[in-house]
Amino acid sequence: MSDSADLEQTETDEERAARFERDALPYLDQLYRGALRMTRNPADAEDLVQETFIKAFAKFDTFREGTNLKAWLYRIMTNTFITSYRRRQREPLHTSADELTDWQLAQTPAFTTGELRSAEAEALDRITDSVVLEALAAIPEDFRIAVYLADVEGFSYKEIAEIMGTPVGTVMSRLHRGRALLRTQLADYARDHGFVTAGTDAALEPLAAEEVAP
Amino acid sequence: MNHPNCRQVQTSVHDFLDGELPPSSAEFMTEHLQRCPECAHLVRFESAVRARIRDCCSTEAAPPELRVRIMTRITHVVTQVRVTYQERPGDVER
Repeated sequence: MSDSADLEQTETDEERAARFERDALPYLDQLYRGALRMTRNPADAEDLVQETFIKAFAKFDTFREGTNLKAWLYRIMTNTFITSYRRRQREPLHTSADELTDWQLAQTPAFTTGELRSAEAEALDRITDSVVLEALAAIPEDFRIAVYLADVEGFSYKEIAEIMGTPVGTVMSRLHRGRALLRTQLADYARDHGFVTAGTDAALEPLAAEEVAP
Repeated sequence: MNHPNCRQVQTSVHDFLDGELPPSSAEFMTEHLQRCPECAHLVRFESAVRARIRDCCSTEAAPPELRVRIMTRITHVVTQVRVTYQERPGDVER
């Protein structure tokens, strides 16, 4: 604490800019990739990342050395995305998280995981990168961000809660639903393309029925 | 797969892989996975799905101009703040 207070007093703007470039800028690629998943297009992703770094620099003196800089940057980016990008991006095609019925969600978990699993890693390998990315892009925004922060960035539930400004319970629910939806998309794709053999469904159905009610 | 232990493993497979299970539950899970090939398979598969997603999301790099643009803006802000401050002390915030 006293260290950062000293730093604030003695650091010139130029020094702060140099420190920012040294410490924060290395996260540029990572944030850009996160922004791509949020905005789903490179132009908006660039704008979002630029705005994020400008904002981060403006309040860099409030960042406490020794705390998680990547999480801090992600919090600024997620907040910026939610407040200014989400509105103009709204696509009627995709329902928001709140609009999904429990029925739709209850459909998904164990069954699809099982179905995909039955085809083993082979099915997974045959699904191309672009299909995986499309599947991720197709799940509702709040779920998508939570899944990305957990699965790709490896943030803890608590960190994701801070980044997204929601309680931990909400994060867990978004992760659960997002992962289930993502697996549904992948399983549908695998089935449509014959990567999953017929007959496995029947074997998994009783399991699915039991697993549905949490 | 219908044994109560298996069902417990199924419902907490993600929390387990996220490293968010309390130590006692994680221990229970690890022990169970050593004895149950089906659950071990499930965990391995889920872990492979995650790895696949992670790989797909790890290839793109920010365009080099973006970095330049950001640093130019920041340098500009630094210069501007100093000018503003010198001209009108007490009105540093934009």
